[in-house]
Amino acid sequence: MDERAVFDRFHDALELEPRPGAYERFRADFTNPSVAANRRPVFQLRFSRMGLRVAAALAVVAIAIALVAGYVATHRSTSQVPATHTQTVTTSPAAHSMDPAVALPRDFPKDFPVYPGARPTFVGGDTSFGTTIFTINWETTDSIDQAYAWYQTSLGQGDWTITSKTAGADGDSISFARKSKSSCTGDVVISQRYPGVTQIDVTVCG
Amino acid sequence: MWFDRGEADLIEAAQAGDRTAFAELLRPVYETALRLAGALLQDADEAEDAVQEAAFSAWRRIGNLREGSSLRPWFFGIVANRCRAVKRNKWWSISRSEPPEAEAPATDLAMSIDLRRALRRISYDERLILVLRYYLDMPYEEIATTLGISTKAARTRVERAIHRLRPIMQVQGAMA
Repeated sequence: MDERAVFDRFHDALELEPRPGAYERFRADFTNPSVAANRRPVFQLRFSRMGLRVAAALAVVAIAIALVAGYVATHRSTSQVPATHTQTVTTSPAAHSMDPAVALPRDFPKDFPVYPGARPTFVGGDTSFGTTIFTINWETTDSIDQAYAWYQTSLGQGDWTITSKTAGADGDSISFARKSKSSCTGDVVISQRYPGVTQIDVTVCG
Repeated sequence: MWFDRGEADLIEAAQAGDRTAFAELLRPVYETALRLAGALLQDADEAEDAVQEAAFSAWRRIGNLREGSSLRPWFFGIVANRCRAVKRNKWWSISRSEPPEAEAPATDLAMSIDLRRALRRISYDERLILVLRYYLDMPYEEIATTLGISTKAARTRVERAIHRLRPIMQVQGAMA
């Protein structure tokens, strides 16, 4: 695709007509200090209709869990528990669920290190350069630091070697190459997908 | 009347606390800032809110604008950061359905939706640099100033983002 076509496609896809009079509204607010002082806070939380539904569903789930926990606790207290037995209750912070799993392509390189327990959630591929380039996303509930440390080790082993590492605001990334085929390069970008869910975004040659 | 004053004069006046001068400084860039926010957020109301928040933020930080610097890339950087915060704060929201575009031919519409979906799958920074380059038609030099990176880095990041976008769009095209 030539660059002119890319410009045209972006303009076609993203053109969004701003509401008329936006500048005049800003100017009126800005040059009238009493209005500016009373404007809404920067971090106002606005829930969409879907957000409210999700919040309601979460509230129902929380109530259900509380009821079940209460039922279990009541019945446990009446059951036989050895006097020396100590129960340890652990709680984990509420985490967002991961996206649905998808199947990896059959020709995805078998020796590429896949983070243990990670779920593949997106699969893409491109063969327009004479070789296949895969774009795969995995998700894990482990932290960014855990995944990053694991790939730092794993991509320095076998037929893989790390060529550069960067830490950015949008995630940490590791660029790598095959030892046996230096033209085969790729990168791993590790970032937060949702609270409690880490995304591992891999681009690698086939 | 401000229209005959140069940008440097207006910046100096704004830095001295002149609100009218600051509003005049923003006049020529406001529309483009709305288009930038609209492309990043895909919602006209949220875009207007984000640009207005960015404008107030810029006013509070106008003293940081260095002498000889242009307001345009500096302000776009603030708008981009504001849009990033809006996206981060609404992680729970579900993508709304695409707006009807009745007059567009079916194939063009499908391609536009494909591109918007593909843009959602890449990182915010990649989306931002593609919007700056291919939607706002910015030269690499201005992209570099907006993002605070070198021109070479801006070119490399655009190429890398396009490279990332291509396979996603191809897969979506195959699935459609």
